[in-house]
Amino acid sequence: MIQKKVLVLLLICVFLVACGTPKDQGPINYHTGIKELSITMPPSSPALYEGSDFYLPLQLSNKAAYPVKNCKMDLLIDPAFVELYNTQSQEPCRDFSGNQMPALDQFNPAPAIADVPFEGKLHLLRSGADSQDLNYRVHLTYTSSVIFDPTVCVGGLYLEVEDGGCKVPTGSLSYSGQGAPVAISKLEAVSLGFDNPRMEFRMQVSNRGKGIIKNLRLLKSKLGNDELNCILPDSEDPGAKQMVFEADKKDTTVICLSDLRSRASFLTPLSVELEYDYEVTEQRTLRIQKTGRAFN
Amino acid sequence: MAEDEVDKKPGKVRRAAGSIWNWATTYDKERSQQQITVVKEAMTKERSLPKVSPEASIRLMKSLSFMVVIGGIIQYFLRRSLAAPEFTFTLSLILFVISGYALAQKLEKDRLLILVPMLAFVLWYFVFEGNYSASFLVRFLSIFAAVFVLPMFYTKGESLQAQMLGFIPVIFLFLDIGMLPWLLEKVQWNITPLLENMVVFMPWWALFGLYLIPEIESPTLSNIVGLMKIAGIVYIVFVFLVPVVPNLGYEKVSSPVAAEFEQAQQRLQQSVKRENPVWSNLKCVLSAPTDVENCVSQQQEDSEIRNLCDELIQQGQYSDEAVCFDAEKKRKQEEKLAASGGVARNFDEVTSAKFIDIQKSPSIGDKVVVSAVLDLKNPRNQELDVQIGCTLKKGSQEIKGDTVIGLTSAPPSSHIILGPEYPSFVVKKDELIRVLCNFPGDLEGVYDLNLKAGIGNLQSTTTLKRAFFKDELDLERWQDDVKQDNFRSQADILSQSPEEFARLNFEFGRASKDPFILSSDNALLTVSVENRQGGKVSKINSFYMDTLDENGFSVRAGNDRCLGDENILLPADKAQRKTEKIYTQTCLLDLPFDYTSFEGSYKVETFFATLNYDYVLEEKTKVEVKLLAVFS
Repeated sequence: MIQKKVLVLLLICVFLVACGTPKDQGPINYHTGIKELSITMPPSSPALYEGSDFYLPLQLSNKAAYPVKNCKMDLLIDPAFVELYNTQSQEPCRDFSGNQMPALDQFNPAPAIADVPFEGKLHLLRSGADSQDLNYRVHLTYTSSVIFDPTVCVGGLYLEVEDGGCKVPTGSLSYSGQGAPVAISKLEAVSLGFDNPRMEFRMQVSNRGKGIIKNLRLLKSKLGNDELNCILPDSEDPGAKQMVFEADKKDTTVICLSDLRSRASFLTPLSVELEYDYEVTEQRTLRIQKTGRAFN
Repeated sequence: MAEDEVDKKPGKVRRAAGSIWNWATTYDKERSQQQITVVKEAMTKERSLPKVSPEASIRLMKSLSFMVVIGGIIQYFLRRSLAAPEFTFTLSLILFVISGYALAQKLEKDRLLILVPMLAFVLWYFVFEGNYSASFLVRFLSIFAAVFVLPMFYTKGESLQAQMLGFIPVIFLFLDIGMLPWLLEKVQWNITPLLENMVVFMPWWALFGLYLIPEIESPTLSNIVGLMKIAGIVYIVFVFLVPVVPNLGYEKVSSPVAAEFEQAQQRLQQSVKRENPVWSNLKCVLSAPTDVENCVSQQQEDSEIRNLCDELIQQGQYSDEAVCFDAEKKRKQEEKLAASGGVARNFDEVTSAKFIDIQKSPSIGDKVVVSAVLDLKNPRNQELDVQIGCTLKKGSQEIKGDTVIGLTSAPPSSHIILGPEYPSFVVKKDELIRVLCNFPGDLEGVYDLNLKAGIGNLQSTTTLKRAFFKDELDLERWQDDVKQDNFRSQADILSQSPEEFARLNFEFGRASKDPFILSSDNALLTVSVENRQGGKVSKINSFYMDTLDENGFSVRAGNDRCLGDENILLPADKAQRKTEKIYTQTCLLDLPFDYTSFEGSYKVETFFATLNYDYVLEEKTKVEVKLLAVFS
């Protein structure tokens, strides 16, 4: 008898699932995951002949959910072998029509692309060698931002008492990223004080991209409509709301405090905007080959 | 009684002398196990004997591992003496086979299983000549894998250990026949003292054999073998104690053939003429126990100089050993401070010359004629001034010959006939230059033939890479990337030029072997010209630090001619050795503006320098002139 009931229930489930209408997934959230401005380079070791023109067709593609500014690109190549007409591109982050590369959003669902060619001429191989392998490197620096805006539970000082609102989670919550190479990867909210209730938010800022963070600045921080009082404890001047990143540093912490008007718990948006200077570098090799010329 | 049974079954040793196939296929595991049991019983029985039993000694001497030890020692000394390289190589192969057998005996494993990887290696290396093309390797390794896996299925995995053990003799064969010297030569490894010691002073087979010696029933013999094993460990420790392993990069590897290995081994053996580090260590442990490291390094260097002085005294360059020792020691100290260089690998072919096809039994007529060919490779089509001359020498008698030169590129009628003054001729491409040396017809007996080729106007370019940083912060931030891109190995830090007759070495920067230069630094420039062959640099026509000069580097202190000089004469009567730095210069440079202030965080640049020189090649051989009756 029980078996038959289970069988019927299963059949109903199958029908419900099979005949149900697909739920509207809504607009794509671009502010998630790790996305960044990337350089597309030709593969290593294309064979080029000495004395010929040098053309390096680089491309930039903004896959991040934020616009970029102060974009600068350098090509570092041994001048003994290549004479570059332009070693630096000051405005590489502009699309085909010359506009600043837009961020990825519902109006620009495909990443904006900018061509950044470097041109020059290959010298003759002075050493008389038959070939020369040459490593070159592209440095890209730019400024961009990232916004972290989760809905958080604040208040709730009586942890074990149900006040009809929400409950501040114990421990930290993890986040997969906000559509940029720099991500707020962890958030820990702590209720403090009794007579003077406050909330403390500890956010871990992580570099998840291919490059390095050079500088980090705290632009905005709000809880609901109230400004948060934030510090960067790893900075030389923690109150300055900006810090210089050491080359090998991957993470830092932002700590924000907010006074609460009541002890009752409620849900409210937290919004923190960070600006960062970022540097990406890519390396490739090319081979210069001797032509059939005579020596000297 | 048990001993009798063992004696009745002496076939084990004899079988080793048979063919590998026979050995592999006639193996009777059950019978062998019986033998082992019997031997073990006999060993237990005899353990109480206080002295060495003659049977035990005979058994030890008959054991294959003992053969490997003895063969290994013989082979080591043969190799050190550089005699009979073919025989040494064959002995290596024999020891390879015997050691596989001994390994099976020692570990009581099935010989056939140990044979599988050994046989596969022999097939790949000797039959297929080390073919390493991808398609071949896929086929070969697939077949090998199938053969390798089959016994594992059959024995449910039990055979794996024995099969893996088969790779041990393969590794020892590789080490012994010269894989390391070959790598040193071909793969741009810097020759470190550790690697040199591993090649020159390691009796690989003897050490392997020592550890293959099975348990011995006689306690005295067992103790002796134990002591030998300890001595083996001490030897290895002492050989490896001297040097420190540097962090070196490596590059592409291609498969060599056995002959290349053996030749590389020979070349390195010839070049390393210093005391065995084991003796140096022992001496230093006793004489300077608090400073063994420095003492050993001093001992090694002194022994190298003493060996060199022996040669120089024989050549007549010095008469007194003490004078030679002091002079050469001083020279060595100076050379240590001079710039070093490396070999540029991006030349498919380099300029070279050697005498070939020397006719050692001269034809007799009214003149004695000796013929030879100078094989001159001139891949960069330089305009070389060539002079060729020949002399015959017997005791104090020296006879200068007239030469007739024939260039392969010219028709026979345009042969150049040269007199005894050896006027020069120009060669602009690869040439096989025929040389006929005519001597008076009244000669008889064995003479020393001395063929000389002077090659003038040789030019080679040296490159050196350096990285410039604006400040310490940039250096700290970017040095790893710059190192990864440009200075992966020690060779990348040194100047590089093609391996020809001589080369110009130069270094500049904050310190020797430091490729990073800060904008605030003064750069010390050191220059040297190094003889790279067995001949002699007769003249340095010019050297120029081309790019340094062009880019505005200037001499702040030191020799003004550091950035370039011309017509540098070298002592005519002084012999030169291979790798000798025959000319050195040092000065301090000011960095030009472009290297202290530039866009970006750093810049890496290659600098070129050129050397123009004359070189004299010499070939000495004995010729016998027979006076035929018809002309007498």
